[in-house]
Amino acid sequence: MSTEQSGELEQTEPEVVATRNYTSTWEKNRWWYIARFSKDYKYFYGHTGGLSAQAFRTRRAHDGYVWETKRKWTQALRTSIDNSDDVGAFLNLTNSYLLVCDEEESDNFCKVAQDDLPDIPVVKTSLAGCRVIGRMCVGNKNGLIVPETTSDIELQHLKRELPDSVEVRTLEDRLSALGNVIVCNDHVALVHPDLDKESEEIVADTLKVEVFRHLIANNSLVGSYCVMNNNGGLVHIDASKTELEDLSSLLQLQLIAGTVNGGNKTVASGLVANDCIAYAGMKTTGKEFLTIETALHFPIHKCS
Amino acid sequence: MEVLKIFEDKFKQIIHNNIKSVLLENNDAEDTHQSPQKEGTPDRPSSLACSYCRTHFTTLSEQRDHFKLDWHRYNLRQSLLQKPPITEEEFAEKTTKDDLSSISGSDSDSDKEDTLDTYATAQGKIFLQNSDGKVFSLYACLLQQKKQEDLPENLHSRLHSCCVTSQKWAVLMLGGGHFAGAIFDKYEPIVHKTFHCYTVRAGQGGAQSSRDNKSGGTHPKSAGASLRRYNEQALMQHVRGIVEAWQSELNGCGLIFYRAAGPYNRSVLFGGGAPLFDKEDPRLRSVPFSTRRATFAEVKRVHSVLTLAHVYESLEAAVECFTRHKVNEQNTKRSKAKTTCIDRAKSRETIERPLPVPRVSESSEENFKRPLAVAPVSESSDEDVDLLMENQQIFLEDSLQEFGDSLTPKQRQLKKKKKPKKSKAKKLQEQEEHRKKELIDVLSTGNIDKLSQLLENFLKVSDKKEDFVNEAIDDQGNTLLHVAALNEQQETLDFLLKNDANPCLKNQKQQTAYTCTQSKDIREVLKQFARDFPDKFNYNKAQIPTNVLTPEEQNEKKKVQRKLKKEKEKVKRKENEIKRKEDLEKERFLNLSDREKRALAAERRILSQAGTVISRCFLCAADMSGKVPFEYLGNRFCSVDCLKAHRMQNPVVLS
Repeated sequence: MSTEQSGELEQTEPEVVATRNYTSTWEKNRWWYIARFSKDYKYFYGHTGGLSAQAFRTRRAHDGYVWETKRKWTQALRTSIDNSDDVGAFLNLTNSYLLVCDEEESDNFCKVAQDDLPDIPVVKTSLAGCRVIGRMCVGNKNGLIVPETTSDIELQHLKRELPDSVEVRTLEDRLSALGNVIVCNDHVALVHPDLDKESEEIVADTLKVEVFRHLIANNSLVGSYCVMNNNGGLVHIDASKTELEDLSSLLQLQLIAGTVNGGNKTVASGLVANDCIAYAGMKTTGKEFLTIETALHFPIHKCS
Repeated sequence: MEVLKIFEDKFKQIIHNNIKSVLLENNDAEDTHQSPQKEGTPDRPSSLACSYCRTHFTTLSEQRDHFKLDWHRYNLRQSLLQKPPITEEEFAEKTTKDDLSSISGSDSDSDKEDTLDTYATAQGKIFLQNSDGKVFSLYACLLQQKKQEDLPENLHSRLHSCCVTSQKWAVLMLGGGHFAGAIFDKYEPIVHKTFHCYTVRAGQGGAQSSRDNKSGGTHPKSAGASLRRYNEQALMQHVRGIVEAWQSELNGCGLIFYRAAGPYNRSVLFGGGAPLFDKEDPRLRSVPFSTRRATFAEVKRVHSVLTLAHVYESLEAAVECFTRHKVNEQNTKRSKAKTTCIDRAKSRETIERPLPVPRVSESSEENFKRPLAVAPVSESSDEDVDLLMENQQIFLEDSLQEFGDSLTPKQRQLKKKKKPKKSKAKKLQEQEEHRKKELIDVLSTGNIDKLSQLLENFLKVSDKKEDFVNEAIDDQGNTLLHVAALNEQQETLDFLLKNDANPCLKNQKQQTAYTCTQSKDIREVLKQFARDFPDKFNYNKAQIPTNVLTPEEQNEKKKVQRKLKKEKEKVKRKENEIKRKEDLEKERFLNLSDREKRALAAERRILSQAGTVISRCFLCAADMSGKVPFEYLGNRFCSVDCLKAHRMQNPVVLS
């Protein structure tokens, strides 16, 4: 009776979408051991002892065996939204808030994200009726800049949900996909060379950053080709060594060239990051994960 | 520039030696430019550098400042356009000269695609240069099939093969049911054939098969549709027949040009179980420019255009010539396109206008220096000028003589008198108006004598009395009758009617003489006339009611009616009286108390019974008429005692 009930409960549980990559052989073996153990356990006892097969398959770092105590460590997680690996299009993650696209399918992700980020608000919103909010707006700890086409309702919703310290501004520019033309952390921002002077000032004022116009790998869409947090950044794989050095010295950040989602060069499409967490697409390989963690200065996780 | 046929010997000389393809623009850039990533100097002093501008910095703040400069932005844009960066000095020169707008950053896409080379490719042309430096252009399709983007290595041998060895070309054109094909040896057509089938839907356009293939559409069953379907088949058969007949010739052709737009036309050449041509055939080329209807003349034109080559002395000459050609074409296009849309994202060009110069220039100020009424203090305090006054009479008569008045007053008067001369027509019109006015006066006053006199006068001039009496005499289209009716002149009206005035005529408000007035007398006159002369006019048209009674008849009728009414009233009065009596009775009855009512009823009953006893007490059989009985279970008694006694005798069994 009780097992049946637990089984039902497991079925109704939302499908967990974020997974922990393993970054070392040790950890891999550990996971394998747990999975193996659970299988045997289930074989002998008929139930998984509170751990579902599903929970094993999508290995959450902070549940269950290893994850008895919920810890806050910096980590990069695999995830997908609405079966799409381009999480960067649907998310905007900063140190003070997380914006998620307003879709029914993203409910699961919201729960998971709120779990991962207990300190910051997770806001579901759309911008100008679009769900690709990650590419349309840009923000950091201090502010959020949304395109001019954002409706009043959405603006109100954002202002209500976001913390008071975050300033929400609209920006009118020919280049309206702000996420593609601006990339920033809490101190510096790179912008598209064709952005208006007034827009540049608005960005500087709202986000309280120093703004530089630059290209990445001879391409002007800096927002698509770079992801950064306050510790480091990941840029397009085609960026040359000299360019990386220039940028690093300019931004005072360590930058590493890499890819996401198994070779996708537009890193911002498959990766969002703040200082303590990063979400990458499901297809991201282990090596890419290693690059990401190194680039964004997440310490390599060790199980206690 | 020289225009040559590519089969000529002169052209053969040109292509005799080594040949390479050239680009009209970016030529030097191609050679010198290296992308900034590759460049990277090995011995960099520090990482404080901008690789796009190729500069180094000593401090971080210097570097940071650099990234906000326009120069940096300009170099970024150069890098995007695959051009080498410029130095700071060059940039300074550039900005002082003119084009700040080019850095403003909005018009990135416009100039990128506007190069001569892209234009040349759009035209389907290719520019080649031989080792002597001569540049010549011809259609790129002669050398390569469209799919191959990069130029073939063996350019020379290709050119040689198409121009020298195999001078036999075939041109096939298909479109709109027309077929035209010819095989040329050098310039002369060896064989040619044209024909036309009715396949294109008249009015709507488009081939019948494409209409049929459209999903969801109806499948027309009209005679025309089936005719076209048949003809499409026939065309296919016919072309197949022709091509098969030419097979031996076609096999010897070096190049086969075809023009077959649309799926149907292409299916004729390449479709079916055994296609006429193999799509992969290296000899096949499509015609790289637009053509007209497929006729033999058009086929010849296509061939002649394809065989042309433009030879320029040098690359510069080629660029110049081609630019002119391009600009000409663009001007015709642009005049249309420019007006239609305004790019609001672009910052508008600032037009430099001269600053407004103060109105009073210095020299004039000196000439007319005088104390102003408004601010006399400052001026006078600065310099004390003695003001001289001088009266001078100037006589202008001599100089102004030609503008003087040369006419004497008499002459002027004469001139004035001449002026108000009127034309004859106007005069007549005025007379007419005067006459009408008079007539209206006469009518409105009811002066019959005058009227008859006028009529007589008129009759002297012409026979027709109707013309006079039926004339519309005012601007509302009122005839004499209308006027008389409106002014309530009965006699005049009568007179007019007797003189054949037509009462059917309407004025502009569509009123007849009868309807234009509310007056009863006038209407009576008209009615009387209608009664007297019932056949003279159509009185329906005149809106005069004819079938009404004469006044006497009416009077009689009225009398009868009055009588009837009186009788009715009498009857009614009687009825009313009865009713009133009844009401009184009722009221009296209502005022009575119930007991009295009952007594009254009983009394009446007794009276009607006249002596006979109606009811008796059940017990003592005493006479109860006139009394209210005591009752239980339907048994009536004269008193309560009787009732009690009766009940005691017959107790009620309850069960």
